[in-house]
Amino acid sequence: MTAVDFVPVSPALARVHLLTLALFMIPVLAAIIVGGILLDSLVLWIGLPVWLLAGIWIAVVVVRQVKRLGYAERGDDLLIRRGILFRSTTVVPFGRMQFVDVSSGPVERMFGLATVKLHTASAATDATIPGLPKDEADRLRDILAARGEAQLAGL
Amino acid sequence: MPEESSAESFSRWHRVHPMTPALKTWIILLAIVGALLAQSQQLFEGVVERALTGSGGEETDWILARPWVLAAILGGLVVTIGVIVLLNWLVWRVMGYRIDDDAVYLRKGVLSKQLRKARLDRVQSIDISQPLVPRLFGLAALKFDVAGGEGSSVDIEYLKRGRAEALRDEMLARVRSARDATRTEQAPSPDPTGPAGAGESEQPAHTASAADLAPVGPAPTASAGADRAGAEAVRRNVVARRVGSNLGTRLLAAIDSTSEDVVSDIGHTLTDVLAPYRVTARAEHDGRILRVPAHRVLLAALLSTGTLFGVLIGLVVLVGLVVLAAFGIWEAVTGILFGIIPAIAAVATMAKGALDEANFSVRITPDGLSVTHGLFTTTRKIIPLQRIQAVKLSQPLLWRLTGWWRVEYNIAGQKSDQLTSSTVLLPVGDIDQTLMMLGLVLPDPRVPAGVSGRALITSAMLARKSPDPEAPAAEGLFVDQAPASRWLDWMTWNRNAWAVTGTMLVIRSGWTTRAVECVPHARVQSMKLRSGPLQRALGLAEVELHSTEGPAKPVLRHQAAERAEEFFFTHADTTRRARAELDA
Repeated sequence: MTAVDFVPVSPALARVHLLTLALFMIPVLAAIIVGGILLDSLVLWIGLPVWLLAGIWIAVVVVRQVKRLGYAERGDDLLIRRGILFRSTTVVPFGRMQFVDVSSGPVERMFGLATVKLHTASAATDATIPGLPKDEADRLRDILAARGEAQLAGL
Repeated sequence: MPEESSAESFSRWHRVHPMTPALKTWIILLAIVGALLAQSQQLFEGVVERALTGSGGEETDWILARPWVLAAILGGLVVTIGVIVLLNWLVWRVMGYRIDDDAVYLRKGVLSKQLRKARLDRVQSIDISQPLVPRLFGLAALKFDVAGGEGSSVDIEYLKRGRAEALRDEMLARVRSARDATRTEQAPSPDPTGPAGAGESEQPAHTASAADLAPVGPAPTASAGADRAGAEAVRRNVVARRVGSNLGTRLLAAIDSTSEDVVSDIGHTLTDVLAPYRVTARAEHDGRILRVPAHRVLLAALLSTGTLFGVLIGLVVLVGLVVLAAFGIWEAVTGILFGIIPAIAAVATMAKGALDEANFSVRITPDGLSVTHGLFTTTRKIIPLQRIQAVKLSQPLLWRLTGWWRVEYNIAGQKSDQLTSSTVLLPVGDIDQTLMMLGLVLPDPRVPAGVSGRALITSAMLARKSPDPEAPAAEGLFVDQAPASRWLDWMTWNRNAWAVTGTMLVIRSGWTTRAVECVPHARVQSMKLRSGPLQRALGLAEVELHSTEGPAKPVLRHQAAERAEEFFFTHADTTRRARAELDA
């Protein structure tokens, strides 16, 4: 993979993931603390650090994953690299692209980010690039659509 | 549409067979008739009894003594039948189909009206289906399968069998010309980047002429039809000569380009085309090249791994029953007997699958491979050879005794919810039949000198047990799994292997059930290089090739990390070149 330079996605994606994580972790955390005080249950007090540690570990993994997530446009295809524990690199030839989706969830929109998804005729193709600045996402979609059309190969 | 006026005869609404609504609701009708008969059974018995003995019982006598009651009963019967006929007529009256230059339309529904449309240039296949009851009346349904979109097929139900067949043949021709027309509109001017040879550079001109001569007109005159057929043959020839085209396409082109009476000669042409696989093929006078008799399909189903487990479980249950009965524990016996019900259901499912695949026969027609199968409900479909994406061979454990294999394929535009049998190319067959069907749907393997396509595939099927004289050389083409993978893949690391030829990737896998997958380079959608923590600890990685939905899911498992990476990038390049060649 030496010859390929991957463009990293926006670091703000880490904040998107962390905020989503916090939205899930904090209510449960509050419930554990309240429950622990009210019920004075040992199980809940043991659960508290376990929950906290799990949250911190996921946060660390998420941040590192975002750092690794990147894509590279080559002459005839697009490469997407992702994953820390389970690493993968996906190649999607422009000539095989059926269409390109750009989507943006509420939390993503808060940070001005969008997700680009490439579709081929295969359901197994999992080519998603999250965490692109909105402009970059639109640029990528237009370029991919144009190249896809130019190189579209028959099935 | 300028052709609209001349298309008048074809573009008006046509009716389906008047029996259609009744046949679609025959279960309900049967229930009504059954209920009526059951109600009046006593009366009938009474009448008969009275005729024989002079008295038909109190009730019958009471009724027969008052003719208006009898009249009311008969009248009710007549009214019921009348209502059924009327409803049937009302429903039938709004049913209809219409075909114009661009699309097939289907309308139905009295209360909520429905209009369905299938664009002709999107139609992927046209099948004739004959469910049991319509079949009794000689009727058939014509199914237009449309690319993409769930439940988007348009079914014309029901037509007389002969009419359905005629309409299908006509529609296949129209769909072809509609597609050609679309293609010509979209086709860019001759592509300068393509490695077009001298002979192939003329191709865009021919395609254009094909569409000009045959503007998807409704009833082309004989000469226009002949011209179109000629142009079509030229186009096919061009397509077929490309390196990546499968051999079946070449065969069809060869049949097309020669005269009409060549059908008798299909066997020779087939043998020629399949030369890389060293298969001697024979064809019947109607172009049939293969028939799998019902008894072989049934025997194959009995020898399948599922049956094997079923029989083992059945034996255990039987022994358990005998033991329990011997000890006199009858409550447990009844419990176990209830447990057998799911087993019976499983056997029934298997038998249904086998019946559906029985009498599997393949004919070569100008439109592609025509496949007919089914013992009670006959399905006939045309497999469009150009859209086949990958092929999978498999052999359940016990089939090793008989040397049988099964051939299935992935195709573009197939919906996932369709029956599995619709991706079967050969339900069960010996090695020659397997190679013939595989050869028809794959491109010329382009193997190095000294190895035949046959040797390659036999090595993929039988690994080191291949009896082929060229087996050692063929085995040399295969790359084995990395030895370190024995810790992750106890049983199959020694069998799993892959080989790359000039036009396709061949993957050998499977332990109890042997499997071989072949993916032409030009058909790969996308690829993924991946490694999990365990794999990295052992210095391994694997490459997943993405094909369209179907039985073949090609993966190069557990390769040495550098080799996997090298393959990934080389293959991205190989597939790019193969696509360019096929589309040139």
